[in-house]
Amino acid sequence: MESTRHPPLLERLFTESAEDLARYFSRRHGGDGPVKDLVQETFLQMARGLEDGRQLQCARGYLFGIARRLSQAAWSERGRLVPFDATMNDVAAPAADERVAAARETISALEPVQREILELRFSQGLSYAEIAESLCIPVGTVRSRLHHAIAEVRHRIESDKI
Amino acid sequence: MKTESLHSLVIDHHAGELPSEVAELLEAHLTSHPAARAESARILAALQLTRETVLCHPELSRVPARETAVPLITRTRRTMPSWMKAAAVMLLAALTAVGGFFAGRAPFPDDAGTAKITPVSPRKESPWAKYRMSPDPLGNGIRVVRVDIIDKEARP
Repeated sequence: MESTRHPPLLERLFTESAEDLARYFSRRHGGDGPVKDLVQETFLQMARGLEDGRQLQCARGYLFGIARRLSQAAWSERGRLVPFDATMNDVAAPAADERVAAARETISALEPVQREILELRFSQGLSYAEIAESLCIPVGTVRSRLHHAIAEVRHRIESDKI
Repeated sequence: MKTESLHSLVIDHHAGELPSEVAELLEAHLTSHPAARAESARILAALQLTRETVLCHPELSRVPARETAVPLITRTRRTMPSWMKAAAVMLLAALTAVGGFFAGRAPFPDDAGTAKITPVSPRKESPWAKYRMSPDPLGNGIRVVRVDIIDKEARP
C-alpha cells in the first residue's frame, strides 16, 4: 500500500470490502489468481486517488467504481490482463426453477447498466448512494432502474402464470 | 395508496433506504390494509426472485465495457498561436492604413456635394373638416366655426 496519509481509511476499506471486491471480481471473471491481482490493483488505484487529494463522498462506492473500470478493462483486453475462465461464460448454476429461468430471461433483456445495478445491490449489498457513486449516475436513477427491473420480473411471472 | 407508490416504497423499505418516519408510516399502512399487505407480499416475492436469479446467474452482470462506456466528449480547442494573432493584427492594421491612404487621395467627383432640390408638391387638401373655437361676442359661451369652408369661399 503506497498511501501513508490515509492509512485509517484504506485499512478500514480493506477490512470491510476486500472480500466483497474479491467476490465481485470472481463473479465477473472467475479464477483466484487474477481476482487477487484485481483486488490489489483496485486498492492501489484508490490509494493513488487519495494521494492526489480526491475528496470522497462515498468511499465504498468509489472503490467499486474503480473495480468496475478495472473489470471492464479486463473484459476489453481479454487474454492480456486477465485470463478468463471459460467455464464461467456459461450459466454458473443451472436453474431448475422455471421461475428463475423466466426471471433470468427478463433480466438479460434489461439494459447493461440496469443489470449492473442489480448485481451491485443484490450480490454486493451496496446502498443506492454507493451504486450511484460506482456507476457515476444519480441516486434517483439507481432507484428507478431497480424498481423497474423488479416490476419487469414480476410482470413476466404474472403474465406467464408461473 | 397507488400500486406504483407501494411498489417503490416496499422495495426501498426492504433495501433500508427509507427514512425511519416513512418506514413507520408504511408499516402502519400495511398493518391496517390487508389488500396492501397482500400486494406488498407479491412485490417482495418478485424482489426475492430477482435477487435469487442475480445470485444464481453471475453472467448477467458481465457487461463488456463497450456496452456501458459513456462516450467521452473530448473537446479539442484549437487555439491560435500568439505569433499568428500578432501577425493577423498587424496585417489588419496595414490593410486599413493603405485603404485609408488611397481613399484620401482619390479625387471627388464633379457633382459631389451638390444636393438635388426636389420640388415639393403642394399640400393636398385634408379630407377632415377644420373648426375654430372662439368666445361668443354675445356672451353665449363658446362659438364653433367651421373654417375650411370659410377659407374655400375666401380663396379666388
